[in-house]
Amino acid sequence: MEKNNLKGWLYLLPAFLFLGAFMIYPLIDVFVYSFEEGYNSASQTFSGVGTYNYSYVLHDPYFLQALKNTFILVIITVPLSTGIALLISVGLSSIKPLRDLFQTVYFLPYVTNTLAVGLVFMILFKKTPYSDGLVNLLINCFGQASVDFIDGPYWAKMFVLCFYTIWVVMPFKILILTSALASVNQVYYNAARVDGTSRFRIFRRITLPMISPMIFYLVITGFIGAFKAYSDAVALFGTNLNAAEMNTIVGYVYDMLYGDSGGYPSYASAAAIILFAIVLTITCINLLVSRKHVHY
Amino acid sequence: MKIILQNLTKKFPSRSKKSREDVIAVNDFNFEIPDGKLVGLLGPSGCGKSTTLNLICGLQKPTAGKIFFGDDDVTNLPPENRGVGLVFQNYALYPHLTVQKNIMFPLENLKGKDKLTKEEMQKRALDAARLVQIQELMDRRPGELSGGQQQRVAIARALVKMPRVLLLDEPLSNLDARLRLQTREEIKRIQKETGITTIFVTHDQDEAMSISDLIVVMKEGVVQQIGRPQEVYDNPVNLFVAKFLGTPPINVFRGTLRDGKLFIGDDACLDVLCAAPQKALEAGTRRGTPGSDSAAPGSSEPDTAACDASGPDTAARGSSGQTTAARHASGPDTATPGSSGQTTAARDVLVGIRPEGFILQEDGPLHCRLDRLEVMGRDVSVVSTHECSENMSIRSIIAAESSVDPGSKVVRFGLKPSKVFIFDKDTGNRIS
Repeated sequence: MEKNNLKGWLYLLPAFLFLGAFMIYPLIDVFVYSFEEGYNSASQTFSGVGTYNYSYVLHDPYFLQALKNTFILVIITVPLSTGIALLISVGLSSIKPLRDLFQTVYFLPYVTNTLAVGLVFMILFKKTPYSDGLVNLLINCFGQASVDFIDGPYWAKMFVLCFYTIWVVMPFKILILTSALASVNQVYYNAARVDGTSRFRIFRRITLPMISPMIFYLVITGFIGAFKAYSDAVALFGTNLNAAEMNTIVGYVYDMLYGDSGGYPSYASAAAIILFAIVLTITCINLLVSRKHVHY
Repeated sequence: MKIILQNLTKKFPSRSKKSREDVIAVNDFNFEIPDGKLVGLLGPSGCGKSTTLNLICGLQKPTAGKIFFGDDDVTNLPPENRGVGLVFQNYALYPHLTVQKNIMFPLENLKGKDKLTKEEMQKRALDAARLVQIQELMDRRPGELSGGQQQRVAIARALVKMPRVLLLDEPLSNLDARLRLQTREEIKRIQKETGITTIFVTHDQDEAMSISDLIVVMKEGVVQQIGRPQEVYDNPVNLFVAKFLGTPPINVFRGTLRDGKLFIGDDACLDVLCAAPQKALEAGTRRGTPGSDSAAPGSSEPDTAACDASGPDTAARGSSGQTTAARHASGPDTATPGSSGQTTAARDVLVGIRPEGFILQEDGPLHCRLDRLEVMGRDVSVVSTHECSENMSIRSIIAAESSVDPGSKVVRFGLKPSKVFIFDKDTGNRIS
């Protein structure tokens, strides 16, 4: 027994080493950084221990802007993308002809290069000396004035960011949901039909509970993904997100570390820990809610 | 509720690239199920039983033909307007709902004037649960129930909306042997208590025979025979039906009809002509018994129809030798080989003998090589072989008190004429 145990640990050692060095140690380090006041990265010294970093970050208008942006993004994109994906999946599974074609079409954004996507969005939204963008052309059709979506008012920029995020996460959700729908045993639908259940009731009382684990999975990963949003904003509004009022929490962390105002690992760590706390809380709430509504 | 199926046919388009022919799952069904009976649709797998059930409940649309519930033509009604309760083979209980919610589910669908209050629904659900004796399980989920309990819940769910017709698709196939016996009693009891016309599908002849008022034997989408279980067992119209019913299965021999006698090998086993007419007549009338006059089950299959329609005389149309033999048969009293005066050509036939049709006789005509004895306690089953047997071994059941010397090489049997069926060698249709 003793010998076997030793062997077991030996096998686990490589994984432990790498996880410890590249995950657990940095995690602890970030936590420690966040409480070290006046840290100087050049001399690796700090003046004291306390919660000043947190109070600085929480009073920083840029951080508050980032926090607000992130929350708006999360609250809008997660329910919308999941809902639309569900609608599209239900539609996809109830048609026979051309289903494969549509499935491929809906999955395309997932395999498309980010730069290509950026280009498409530029054509759609960007104001250039030659054109106001496709969306503005549409707006003009209805007799309204053009809106500058990239450098214009806050709501317009937020709209583009949400639109982009939803569009990017949709294919994966559709893929998951169509396979979840396909795995619901047809016999339940037959049983419901014999009992004269309306289509809407079948969907609400049978389909939704049956695929609830998958929906739950998508909501949880959707929340976490949206809280970590950063690169999308950069792709749309450039690297100076603070100036564009479009920064996110992860963007703020990055700026604190490497941006123009960079070199503040303590503030970055504090912001990261705050983000961690938020994500943890939201996930716990999700889990609590799911206990009642998710049927495994 | 009386159910009438008229020329019911269901074809499925062919999937294979080789043949363009449609798959005919149900071929020109005609029968009538009397009100308040328990009917077993019986046949090997793939014979169209479940398709028939789906057609009756409306989950599938027939290619041709009509379905009547009483006087209503329900052929084009969707399932919910037919008033059927269906119990699925794997029960199809909604796993995320409690037993009570499962049973209440059909009631919650009611709209308009049929709409029930929550209390009424709960009461109806409880009544249905009491009927199948699961009232103490109401708060459980299907996953926490045994197979038999799930089965009961499924039946309660089908019964709660008070259907005109209850349909059960292989209701016992997912249960273990002991539970199967118990549940089939239960189904019979529930059917009796509610008086609802019930149709169930099964491939197990034991199951069908034991509880059905009426069985419908099917093969490859065609109805073979309809009748009370005992009638069908005693008077199978063809070899298929004879083989399908009965455990242990019927023993089949290659035999010859010659000079009014049935020969198995060199043994003249039976004076066929004495036994023939009465039985054949029965075979002729039996067809009409299940339903009433309107259903003409025989018409579903040309050759059985010919065999059955008018008794022995037409039974052997197409074989000259047999025609004479059959004419013989019409005069039972004079039917001795000598009196016929004609030497008829020998005709090869297949002979089915029920295991209980053998009588142990010192001087019995049928010589079999004794293989072994299997003692059951209640009776003894004699396993023997014969060169003309179609089966590997012959199984005959004799009374426990009869003495067979296990060491002897040969065992001799007499035959009970009513347990011996003669079939055409090629068509398998019953001759006598």
